[in-house]
This record gives sequence, C-alpha cells and structure tokens, in this order.
Amino acid sequence: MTALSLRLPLLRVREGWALVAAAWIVSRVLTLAAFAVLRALGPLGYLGRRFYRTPLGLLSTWDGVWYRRIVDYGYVFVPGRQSDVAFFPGYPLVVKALTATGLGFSVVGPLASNVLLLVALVAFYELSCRMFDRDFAGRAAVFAALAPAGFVYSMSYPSSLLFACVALACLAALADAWGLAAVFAAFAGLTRPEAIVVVVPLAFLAWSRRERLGPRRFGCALAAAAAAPVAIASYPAYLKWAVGDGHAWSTAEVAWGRSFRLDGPWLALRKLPHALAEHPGYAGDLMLLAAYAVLLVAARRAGTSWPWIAGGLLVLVVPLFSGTIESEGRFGLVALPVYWGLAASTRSPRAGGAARLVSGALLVAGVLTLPFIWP
Amino acid sequence: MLRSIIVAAGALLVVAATSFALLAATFGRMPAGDRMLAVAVRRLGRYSRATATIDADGRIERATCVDHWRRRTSIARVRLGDRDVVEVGDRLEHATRGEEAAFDLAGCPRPLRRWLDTGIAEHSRVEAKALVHPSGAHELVLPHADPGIELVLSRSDVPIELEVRDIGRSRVRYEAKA
Repeated sequence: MTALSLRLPLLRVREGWALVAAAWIVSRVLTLAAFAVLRALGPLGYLGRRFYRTPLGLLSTWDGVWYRRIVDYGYVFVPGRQSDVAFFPGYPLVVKALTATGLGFSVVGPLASNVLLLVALVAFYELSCRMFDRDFAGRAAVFAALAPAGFVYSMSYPSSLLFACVALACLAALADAWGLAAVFAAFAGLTRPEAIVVVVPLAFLAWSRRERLGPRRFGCALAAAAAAPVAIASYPAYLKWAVGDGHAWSTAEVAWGRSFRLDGPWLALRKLPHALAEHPGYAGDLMLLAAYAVLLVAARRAGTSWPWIAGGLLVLVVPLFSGTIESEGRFGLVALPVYWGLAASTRSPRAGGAARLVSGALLVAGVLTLPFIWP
Repeated sequence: MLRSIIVAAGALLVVAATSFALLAATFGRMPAGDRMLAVAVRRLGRYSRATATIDADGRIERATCVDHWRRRTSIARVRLGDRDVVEVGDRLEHATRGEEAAFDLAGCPRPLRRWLDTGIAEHSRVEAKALVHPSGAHELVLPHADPGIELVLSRSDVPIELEVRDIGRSRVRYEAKA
C-alpha cells in the first residue's frame, strides 16, 4: 500500500458494454470508411502525396505529423517557427512505448487511438451509470462515440487517450480509489491542457467526502484533484531542461496564431468575421461551440451537478483565452456533461434516432473535409 | 487538516517528479548545440541591424545591414562600400556571386535566423556541435547546413563571428531594433 493508496475499483462486465462496443464499432466503421473514400479520391487540398503512400497515412496527418516527429526525434524547439514543443507529451509517450513492439508510428498511432476510444467509452458509460440510469448512460456513451469531431479518435491525435484518462480519473474518484484517480488525472494533464475538466468535479467530490475519508485519504483526494494542473505544469519544467526555454510551449503556440491573454475571448470574438472569411472551416468550430454550450445547459436541467458543468465550461472557455475559436470542436470532446445534455434532450426514440443520424453524418463530413479544414 | 495538506503536497511532489522523470527518460534533451543555436536564434530576434567586417578571399570589406518590412515582405538591405545588395523575401536581387557571399557574411539578423532555424528544424541534416572557443565564448559548427556554417557566440549568445564554408569569415556586431 503506497501513500497514494492505489485501489482498483471493481468493475463487472455489464450488458450495457455490448451497446457501447456496438456504438464504438459503428462509429469507427463510419469514420474509417470515410477515410477510405478520401484515400480513393487521391491527393486533395492541403493533404499532399506523401500522406497517400501508406494505407494508413491519412490517419496521421495534421497534428499526427508533429507527434511522429516527437516519437522519432524527441522535442526540438525552433523559436519563431512552428515547433513540436506545442504538442503535449502524453500521447507520444504511449505511442513511443508501443513502437517498441516493432510496429511503425503510422500503424501504432491510429491503432492506439481507436482502442483507447473503446476504453474511454466503457469508462464513460460506467461513470454515467453512477449518476443516471443505465438507459441514459447508454445513450450518452453512444453520442460520445458519434460526436461530430470524434473522427480524431481514429487519427494519430491524443483525444482518445485524454478522454480515457479523464473518464477513468472521474470513475476512480467516484469509487474512492483516489490514488488511481491521481494517476489518471496526472496522465490526462500530460496529454492535453483540457485535462483541467477533472479539477472541479474531483475537488468537489473530495471535499464532500472529507469526513468519511479521514485525513490521510482526504489528502490523497486533494492530490488527485490537483494532479492534472501539476502534471500540466511539469511539462514547461521539462521543456526548460530539455530545450532551454520554459516558455517554449506558449512561444510555439504563437506560431499557430495562439497567444494566451486576459482579453483572449474578446479578441476571438472581434477576429471572428475575418477568421471565418479566411478559414470557412471555423464555422464548424463555432457551431460546435454553440451546441456544446446549449447542451451544458440541458445537462444542468437534467440534474447534472454544478461541479461537472463547471468542469465542462472550463474546457470550452479556457482555449478562448488564446484569442481564437480554432479547434474548439475538438477541445470540447472531453466536456463530458455535453453528452449527458444530449442524452437528456433526446429521451424519445425518434429524437434519439434523429440525433444519432445527424451526428453520424457530421462525423463522416468531418473526415471528408479534412483536406481543407484542420481539426 | 494539516495532515491532509501535507499528504496532498507530498503526493503532488511525487506527481511532478514522476512526470518530469518520465519525460526526461523517454524524450531526453535537445542536443547542446541545437539548444545553443535555438537561444542564438531567439536573441537575434531582438536586432534589426548588423555591422560586419568581412574577409572573403583575403579581401576585407565593411558591410552594414538593416532589416525592415515592406507591407508583409521582409527586406534585408546590405550596404557594401557604395553599393546595396537587397534581399526581398528570401531572394537576393541582382547580386553577383561575390555580393551573395558578402551578403551571407554580413550576418543580417532575419536572414541569419532563417538560415539557422531551418538548420534546427531540419535536424536530420544538421549536426550542431558546440565547442569552447579560445576566448571562452561558444563555437557552433553546422557541417551539414547548406552551405556549412560555423559561428562563434558571445557570452550573451549573440553571434560575433561567422564562417561560411568556401566563402570566408566575418566579425559581426548587432544593434537593437529602433
């Protein structure tokens, strides 16, 4: 027994997992079929010939190019240019470990993402079961699998890993396995800054159970709540040692047009008309951001407690402080209450079916527009 | 409560140390030469003017360089004696081979940054070796850059000497942006 008191919450295989697995299969078949169509069409837009040389090449485009560099060479910082230090290390850590099997990045990257999505969906279903009834939890998990921006779950992107770590951290916390919650929250923090989604719910859970936990375990619970931000902060500390600049991450983000500042949301709003004219793809991010916000309200009305809503809101609002709405659709994927809001809004079979159909169509459209719009 | 805080602080220390160790063990550190080069590139961003004493094929020449922007285009203008050599974007305009060499050795901040950061970005082609210069400053050698270049960095990490393979060498001094 360590000071962190690592305890595995007992999970029994449930019938509901079959529904989750089916949703995973359907959503991945849709996504991968759309990628196959894209491949059959040949080089288009920003995606040049090099991505068509290997069968799975298209699954490692956009950010995947940078993650591959990190896996191959480690971090290299070039001031004033786009650099791989802009990409958090959690996902390349996992992929690098898996490449030890002898498989290349173009296979391991997408494979890890797809498998981790299944883990994430099961964990999310279990988490939802602890707050709502099973039918509700099943619907929420299906929507999570079919999320319009969820095509990145099949690419060499860290989204699946982040989703899995976030859901597992929350699940472990609900089961009072605080050591495990700290481990998953910390790994989520190493994977993406959106890991802050877990801070408020975990802190609330820890505080509400402080009497029952006793001083030592309450300390573990507090550590679990703060583990994600601490892990996030350890990345700049590593960069200071590795590339000689603790601000390398934020400096590199500038090359992508992101710069964190207090008036960031106002700036994002002011730049919006120009940004939409220059990159029409931002319209998708804008619409998804609006949809996420509406669904957070729906989740609150369905009885989701405010710490979960606050966590989801943080995920949506914090990136806006970088002065752009770019990629909000993808960042919002881990705003878990969004799926509860959607499940609550589609209780009737007809509404549920229509929502699943629209989500699936948008998922496919997201893949087919990849040569022109980065996720 | 105090006991809880101590446990939390201890656990968070473990999280931070483990995260750092995991990253350091997996991805290591950028090579020393590349790190110094990155610092030099960043420092060069503070300057827009350079003066250089150039030694190309035994001919000593003095050059002054000014970087500026025209609309969105980067311009670097090198004054060599009574003539100007101008780079617009990344293209030299109407320059003889000798003028091209002198332009490279003039050490204009922005073109030199571009040259060096391309070296770091395409690190499969560049080996930046950090050596200790007799003066105590650092010497960086990029044998696989195109063309190969050596620079001596001052203690404040700004280039003070350039040597371009098969072209010549120069001593440079940078002036801050106006």
